[in-house]
Order: sequence, then structure tokens, then C-alpha cells
Amino acid sequence: MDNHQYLDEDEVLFRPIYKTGKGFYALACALAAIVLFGLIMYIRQVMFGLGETGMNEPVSWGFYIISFVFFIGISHAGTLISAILRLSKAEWRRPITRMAEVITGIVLIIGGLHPIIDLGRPDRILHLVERGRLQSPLLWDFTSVSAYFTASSIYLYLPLIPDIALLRDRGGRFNKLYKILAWGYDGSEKQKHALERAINILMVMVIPIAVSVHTIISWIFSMTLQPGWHSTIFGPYFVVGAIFSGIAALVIVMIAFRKAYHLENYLKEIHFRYLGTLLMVMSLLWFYFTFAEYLTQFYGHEPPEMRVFNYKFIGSYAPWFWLMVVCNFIIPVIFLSNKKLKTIKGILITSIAVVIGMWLERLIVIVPSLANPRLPYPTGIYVPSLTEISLLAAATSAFILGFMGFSKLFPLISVWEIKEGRKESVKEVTERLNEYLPTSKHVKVIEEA
Amino acid sequence: MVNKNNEERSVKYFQGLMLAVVWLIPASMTLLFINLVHISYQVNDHQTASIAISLIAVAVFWILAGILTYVFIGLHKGAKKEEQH
Repeated sequence: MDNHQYLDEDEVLFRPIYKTGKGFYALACALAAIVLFGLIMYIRQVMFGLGETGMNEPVSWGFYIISFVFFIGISHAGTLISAILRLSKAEWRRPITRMAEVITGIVLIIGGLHPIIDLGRPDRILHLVERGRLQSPLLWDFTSVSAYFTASSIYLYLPLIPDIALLRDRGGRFNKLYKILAWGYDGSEKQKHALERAINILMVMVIPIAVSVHTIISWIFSMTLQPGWHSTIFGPYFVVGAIFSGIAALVIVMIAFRKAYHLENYLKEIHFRYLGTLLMVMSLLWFYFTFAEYLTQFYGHEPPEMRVFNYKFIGSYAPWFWLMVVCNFIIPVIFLSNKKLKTIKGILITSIAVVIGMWLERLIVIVPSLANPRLPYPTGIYVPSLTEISLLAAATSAFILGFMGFSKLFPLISVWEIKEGRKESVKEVTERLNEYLPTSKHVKVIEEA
Repeated sequence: MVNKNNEERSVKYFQGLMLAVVWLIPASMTLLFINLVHISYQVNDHQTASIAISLIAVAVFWILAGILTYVFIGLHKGAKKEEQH
């Protein structure tokens, strides 16, 4: 079937798959060039060793591990938010879930590569398989990230099947791929039931896996006796930060693709206002955890802990620390608590600030503790090299490129969920309301409506 | 007609391959964890903790493979053509 003859009321959602503008190619080329440059720098690093980076003793973790924690944190945007919204039957989720799930898949690949980049000798990753010790948090990390990636990929793929079937029926390029991935889906009741059942099981399963991933990542730090790291609240603190940065990244992606693909009719201001409220809640939670963490350190006044504390608050890292507070707390509170500023533009500014702030938070957690170890070392200095900066740029570009690539194969908004929402949601929500509310005239009015 | 049959055959072949990969993941994770538990005995680590971690991790992968297989079989059997039979 010629895809031009097949017109759908949600045609705009399919348009990016069939039509590609010059701007897309220009941006893709620019991003590919950055990725390529990063790759060249990485090959240089493999050839000449980790001396090409700014890492040294005692600061033996730098940009790579910061980016690892940061990108895995962003991954919480997707599966967790999508699963929670699905589970709570939030109807406004429908145009959001797909983008959230795609973010997870892409950033998990990018984030997961960073510890290998940090190894210097990438072949040594095999030591983890050959001689890994299960009591090491690094191995727990490997396991939880792999489990999360597997679960997230399935969680992205299953709700995609009805849309793949729609693409298959339209014909055109990649038809064979769609045929393979659709598994003969034709919307029969039995198929819908099987799919729905699997999605329901997965959305319950994915939440504890997602929470466990970032908790375990925090344990890489908190299981050591390093000052500034050995904290019992690191698990939940990291999870809160991850969801916080994840929502911010999701908002940025939504606004960018809304503008590029003209999705204004699907991603409305109300979606951003709801996400803005979530962002505000997470900002307050983040501040609460940060305050609790540093107050405990300050009150204990242990000399090694205080060295790290002072390094962050009034020392070399003070500009980054206070910039982090501005980005993660001051800007969100100003923009999101004021109705006039809580516009799409305001929420975008806040989200960009939060993404920068959360990257800085990872920097603040990792470097100052390593620079001021418990052992009597002189204070360490860490200045990232061009290799590390270019690999950070390459990772960010690869993320955007991956997302753009996905949008050329599959719809970025779940078409079948939008159709289902139009067809069934009003009835379902009315029924649900009737269940919540006490029987009264008001309920009858709803029923009649 | 021959082309269509060939295409259908190749689609089924790739789907079979997908299913094989789906089960290859938990199988290889199981082998990996058996190896790691074996190492934990060799180096006298906390064996019980190692076994507990392995059991949880491996179970997650098997359940995920099970869910995906359930969907693939459900979609295959639930197609309208099948329903008519």
C-alpha cells in the first residue's frame, strides 16, 4: 500500500518517519562529526593510556564516572515515570510514555559504556566475567544495569508492537523489519489481552528494578569508607536525584521534538505544567536530602569529613557547589512556584538548569571526596583533559542522534494509546469517578453527562 | 506468490532468531553467575550472600524472557486468522 494514500487522523505522528527535512540531515551530520571526534580521542586514549585524561592519584575517577552516574540517572526518566503513570492510570501520560521509554533505552547504552571507557584497557572488562567477586558493588552494578536495560528494552518494545503493526500495514520502507517486529499483530482481542497482561506485569516489575539500579550505583561510593561517601542515605538520595534529572531531560526532549515535528496538538501546555509540578516536588525532595546529608556531616565535625565539606562549601569546588544549588533548587523554585513563570519556556529553562545542576551534583559527589582522602595525601587536583571533554560532548551528541534515529523508524508518540484514549478514556474515567465519589446527585450528573 | 512465501519464511526465521536470543540472555547470565559463585567458593568469599545475589539476578532475567515468550506466542496464536480456524 502506498503510504501517501493512507491517511490517519494522527497522520502528523507518522510524518517524521516518511519525510525528512534538510535541517534533520544537517543536525545529524554535525552530531555525527562530534561523535566521530570523540571516537578518535577515545582511540588515542586506548593507544596512549589514561595519562591522556586529567585523572591521577588520588583523583582516579573523573568525567567518565560522573557521566556514568549522570546518564544512568537520566534513564529513570523513562521506565520509572512511564510505569508509575501507567500504574496510577494517569490519562495525561498517553503522549509522554514513549519518549520517556526511548530516553531510558538510549542513555542506558551510553551510560553503560562509560565504565569501559574509564578502564583505559577495555579488554579488562572481561575480568569481571572471568574473575568477578560477587561481594563487590561493581559487580552488583553490572548485574542491575544489565537487568534494567533488558527490562526497559522489553518495556519499550511491547507497547510499540501495535504501532509497528500500523507501520507494517502502511507499507513503504523498512516493511520487512516491521513485519518481523510486529509478530503478526492485527489487533484481535486475544492479542490485545496477551499484550496488556505482559505490560501490566512489566510495569510492576520495572519499578523496583529501576529503584535498585540507582541505589546500587550509590553503593559504589557509600560502601567505601571515603569521607563524604560513607552515608546511609546515599541510596534514596541518588534515586531522588535520578528521577529529578530524568524528568528534566524528558521535558527538554519533549519540547525539542514538539517544535521540530509540530506535535503541539499532542504535547499540550497542560502536560508540561504537570511535569513542572513533578519537577518542583523532586526539587524540594532533592534539597531535603542534600540538607540532611550535609547537616549530618557538619554536625559530626570529623576532621576528614570536614576537609571534604569545606572543599565543597568554601574551597576550590565552592563555585560548582553553589551553582549546583542555584540550578537544582533556586531556579526551579522561582520558575515553578510562580504561575506567571510556569510556562513552557519557563519549564524549559528550569529543566536545562536541572540537567546542568544534576551533572554538577555528580561532580560534587565524586571529585571532592577523592581529592581529600582519609589517608594523609596532599589535596588532589583534577582538571579534565580535552579527551574527557570531547567524550562528554560525544556522549551527549550520541544521545540526541539516537533519539533522532528512533524518530525515523517509529512514532515518538504512542499512536494506539492516543486512539485508545480517545475511544475509551472518557468512559473509563467516568466509571472510575463514580467508584471514588459517594453516591449523590453530583455522581448522577456525571453519569448523565 | 513464491516471493511472498519466501518473505514469510524469512520473517519467521528472524522471529525464531529473536526468540533464541531472548533465551540466550538468561542462559548466559546463569552461566556467568554459576562461574561467579564457583569463584566465591575458591577465594572463600561470602558464599551465601553470593548465592542469594545470584538467585535474585538470574530470576529477573528468566522472568523477563518468559514474559517476552508469552507475548510472542500469544500474538502468534491470537491472530485473527488463527481465531477463524
